[in-house]
Amino acid sequence: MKSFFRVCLIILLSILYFSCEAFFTSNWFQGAADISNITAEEALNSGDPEIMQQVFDQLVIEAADATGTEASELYLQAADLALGISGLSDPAILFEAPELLSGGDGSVGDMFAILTETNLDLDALEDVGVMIANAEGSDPGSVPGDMWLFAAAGNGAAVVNDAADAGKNVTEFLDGYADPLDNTDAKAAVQSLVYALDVLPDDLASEILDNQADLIGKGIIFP
Amino acid sequence: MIDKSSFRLFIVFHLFLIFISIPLVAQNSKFSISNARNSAIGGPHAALTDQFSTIFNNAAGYRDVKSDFTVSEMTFKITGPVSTMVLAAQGGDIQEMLGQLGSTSIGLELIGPISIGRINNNFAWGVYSIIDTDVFIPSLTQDAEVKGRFDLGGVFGYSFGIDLIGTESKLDFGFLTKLFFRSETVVTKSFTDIMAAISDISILLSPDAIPLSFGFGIGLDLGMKYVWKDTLSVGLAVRDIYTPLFMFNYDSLTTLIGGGSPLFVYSTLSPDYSLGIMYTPGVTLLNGLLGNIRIMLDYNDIFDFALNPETRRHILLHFGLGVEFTVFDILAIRMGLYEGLPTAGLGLDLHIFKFNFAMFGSELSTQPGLMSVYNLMASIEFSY
Repeated sequence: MKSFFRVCLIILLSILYFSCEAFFTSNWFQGAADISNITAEEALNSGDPEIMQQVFDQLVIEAADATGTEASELYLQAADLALGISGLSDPAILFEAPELLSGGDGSVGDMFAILTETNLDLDALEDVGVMIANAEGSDPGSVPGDMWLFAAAGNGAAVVNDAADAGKNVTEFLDGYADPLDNTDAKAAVQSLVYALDVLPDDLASEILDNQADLIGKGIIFP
Repeated sequence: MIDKSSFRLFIVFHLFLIFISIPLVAQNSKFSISNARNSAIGGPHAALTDQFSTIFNNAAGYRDVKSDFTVSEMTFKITGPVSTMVLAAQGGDIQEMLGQLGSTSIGLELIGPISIGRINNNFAWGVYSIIDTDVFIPSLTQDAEVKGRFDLGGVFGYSFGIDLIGTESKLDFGFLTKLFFRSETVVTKSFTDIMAAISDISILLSPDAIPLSFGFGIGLDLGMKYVWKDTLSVGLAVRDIYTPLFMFNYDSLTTLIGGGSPLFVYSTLSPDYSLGIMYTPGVTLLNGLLGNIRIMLDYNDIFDFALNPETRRHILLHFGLGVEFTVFDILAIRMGLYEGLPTAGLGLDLHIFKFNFAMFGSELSTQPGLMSVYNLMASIEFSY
């Protein structure tokens, strides 16, 4: 019986060792994956930025050759992938955002802190705004409210990138304008937030609506 | 022996069924019982047909089972990054826990409490209930899918065969018929809705927000198995060769209660042609400590490329490899590889009472490694 218990013990220890998720979810044939024909959803689920980038590039080429609803759908899929590449599709970001925003003094610079103080890929995030704008351009009204929220983040990333290119932080960069909304990307970010009114938190939506006349004066269109 | 014309008829019949199935194939769940033993040894094996739990493996195998009456079986399966989420929740890291929700699938399946059946004298029958729930969140921007399914059904099968005289081998054939009733709901919600539902569950549970489907399916499995000297077995299982599903879809619970008309949907389940080989050396090791060694290799869903061209899976994902042996005939040790992912488990056989446990990965993508999820499965069984 001694040997029986020894064998059982070895087996149980082996099971404990191997019973981690990482072991059972590491595919032995991963290197053989053919990603030339996978869907945008599969690329997103892979969590691998290189795979997502490859499918993103492919979708952008296909979308450029398409028109109307088909083009819009392809651009929206590309926007999804760009979000995945940027890291913003990680749900944990949603919980970091209030913490980062509440830590500052409420200035415009703090609003952009979420973009600069996390490990987001800002170039990819900028692509999100571009893809969503392309989708809207291909088929007006086709972009859902949720996506406009991400478009705002994408346009915000464009502002941060422009500021970095100019060697300034966002506050200094926008101070260079008579009105921050004179910056095309900042204006596009606010415009996207206006389009996302349905899914915005009530207090922010009310604030935007309160500023309606002011924003209309600055060329912001309400849907 | 089988004559040429019968064989030709057999082939033509199969090709006909494949042909009529192609335009109708739906990605519906199959009426099939997954079990911890199969899951631990690299999926269902077409050549493994030795007890009641393998009733869905190959319809030709009932002739091999001496007599197995299962009076009750309960199987639980949990899918998803469960242990990571539990560890994160225990550590108070809610961000990490919720972060695991993105791009994954979380599921819970219960087979039973109705689970009874018997294999005896070449006949097999069984009655089962299955409850399956699944939450799939592709990304923040794509709608999440919450699925719930309840199946109640029965199966009846028979196998027959011939002993090939002078060759110490035999050839078996068999069929399994199925009749099942299904109720199902598939709710799609945006990620923001799901997050909002944490504080206000009515967003998900509102009668207007829950579509419902009711219906039934009838099905047929066919099987063929060749056994040489009780050492080498080759099985061809054709699962759901023709399984039509008749569903009545209500767009919401309110429509159902209000007497609204359902939408009738007819579809067929995708047939699964699987070929498997099993080697049973019939030797014991370590002075009889280790025995009942089985090595199995299968190629599953052979015609996936023709039946599901849009969603066809990578060729390597079709292979299933498994090894099983017992320690003192009581404890079964199992391991394998299925869809490119490792599987492992054990089984305790105390004659009337059996306990099985499995840990395994499953690949939800069409390519290896793009979306692998973790599964835990446990079953208890009373049989004699």
